[in-house]
Amino acid sequence: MALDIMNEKGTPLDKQEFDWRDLVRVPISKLDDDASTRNRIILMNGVEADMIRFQQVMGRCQRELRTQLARVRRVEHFQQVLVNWLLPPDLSPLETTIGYEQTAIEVTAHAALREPDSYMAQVYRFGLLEDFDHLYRFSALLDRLEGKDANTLLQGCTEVRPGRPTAEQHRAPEDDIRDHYDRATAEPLTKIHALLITAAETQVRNYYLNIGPMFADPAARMLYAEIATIEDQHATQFGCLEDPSETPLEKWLLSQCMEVYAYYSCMQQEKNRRVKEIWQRFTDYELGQLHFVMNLFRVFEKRDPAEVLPATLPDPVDFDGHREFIRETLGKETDLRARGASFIRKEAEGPAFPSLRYRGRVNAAGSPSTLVAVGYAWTPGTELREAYEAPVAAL
Amino acid sequence: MKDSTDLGTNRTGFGAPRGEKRMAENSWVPAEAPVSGTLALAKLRAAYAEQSGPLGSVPTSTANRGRKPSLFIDKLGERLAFERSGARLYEGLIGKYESEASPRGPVDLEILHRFHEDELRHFQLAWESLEKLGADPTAVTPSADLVGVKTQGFIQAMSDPRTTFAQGLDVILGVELADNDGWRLLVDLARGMNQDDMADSFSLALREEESHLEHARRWLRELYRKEFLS
Repeated sequence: MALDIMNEKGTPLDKQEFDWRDLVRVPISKLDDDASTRNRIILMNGVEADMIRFQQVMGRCQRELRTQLARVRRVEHFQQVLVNWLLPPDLSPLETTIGYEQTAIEVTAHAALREPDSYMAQVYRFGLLEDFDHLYRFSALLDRLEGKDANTLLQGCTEVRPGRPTAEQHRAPEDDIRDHYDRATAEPLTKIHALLITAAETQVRNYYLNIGPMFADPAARMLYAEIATIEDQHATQFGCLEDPSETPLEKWLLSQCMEVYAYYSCMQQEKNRRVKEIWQRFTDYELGQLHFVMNLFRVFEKRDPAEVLPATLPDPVDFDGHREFIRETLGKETDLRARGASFIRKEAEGPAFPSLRYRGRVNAAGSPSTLVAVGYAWTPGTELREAYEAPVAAL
Repeated sequence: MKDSTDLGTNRTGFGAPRGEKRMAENSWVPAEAPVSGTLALAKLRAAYAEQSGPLGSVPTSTANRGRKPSLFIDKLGERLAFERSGARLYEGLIGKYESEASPRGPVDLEILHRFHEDELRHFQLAWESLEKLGADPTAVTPSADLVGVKTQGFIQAMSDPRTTFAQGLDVILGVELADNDGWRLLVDLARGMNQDDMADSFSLALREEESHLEHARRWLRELYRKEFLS
């Protein structure tokens, strides 16, 4: 049944409370829980982190809304803690990274498939093939550094093979700027997708920047430095998709709507009963926050939220099942590059193009992503299965 | 050449420059608490332990001989994971040897390569044993998962370019100590499961691991003795 966000009021903001035991739950199982449960946790951590970042910046620019922002942001913060702390501690940072890339791939693939605007869909497909390659590189590192098989985390839902080579993803800043939607004519789903994917990519960048220096292995440190840089490019790229002429309060309203959509998607598909209850609770919290912000919109902008928000939510996010679409996109678009806001074929990149010069400069001492994955092909049980060829003594 | 025991400006001790004087100014003493801090922490941890389930489950298999086949599968999975990580750790040690960045003492590179191949063969042995039991060797059992957690420290230590060959060998010593007991347990479990052929193969692996351990101990003693006397 579709969620009627204009009439479902959820939990009032002043009833959205926590204590420390409530916040720190027993985490999910790395072995027994579905990969998409883990990926929903990763996504929603990213959504909350981006909301908090946005609300903090907005508070620096909107004196009259600082207290209201702080009230909502406090709850968003607690939501982020509760959600993120569901990740189990037996996930190593590199294993968590595999989860981050799988989440980025599957959610971006969903957006690319469902996006009504063909240009926006192209932007998502462009980013998708880059995250897909990151998964391949990190899987190689997981095998070669920790002796582990990435598929134990991917659970057969996402393939491990090269996408658009990471070494060729480096672009001059001007070639990460994309056209934005028109706030007056864009469909609500277009706006929701832009907010959702920007949040997902920004958190990946932040995560890699935090954990990169924790690795002792220089190859790992370099790979994280390289891929974190691409994720920063992605955050720029997807962040461009929003119409800059939307007022901050309009953006806040749309962001709250996106959060309702995201939690509702999680709740509808979640198989873990304990986690499903959290998604339900937070759908209700986000509805309460949405209606809180709707009132602010009416009071401060004298506008009707219905002119900005959809009457009902779009179909929920699919967290897996995009294998064929990804293969098809790989077949057609791996060789795409960017020039300004447009996409061009690799052959069209001229020697004087800023991105080609930039790429040559950053790769001048070699490419970590190329080095880490030399000769790597995913094998069940790791490539060490192929390494030993002598027969085992008969059992 | 790098030496891990050179004297220098280590600032971590209370007696280090600036340490004693500033810390001695910290004369604050907490009021007496109704319970000790250690006890309070233990109670909290016990409460979470009570609520928490296990790390995960052992995947189903067709093994049905013996008392608790899932325990055997779990421990075989553990061994598989450990040997696989062990092979990567030996690669790290060989890399340190070949870099010549620190003293390598009496260690023979050829023997290191042989031990690396042993780890690969032991990994293969665990793999094929699981297959024979109808279990999935690609699955991560709970004990294999815990291996991943425990070996994080080994991997960090070995892959740090600042650690010497001797420090890397020290990592291998820790690995081999665990490896020895791991195979010893598997020999017992295999006999308990009436898998005598498997037990014989595991005994062979154990003998090889004992050789690894003996070499690691001897090499380290000689390396440190040489450094101490030089």
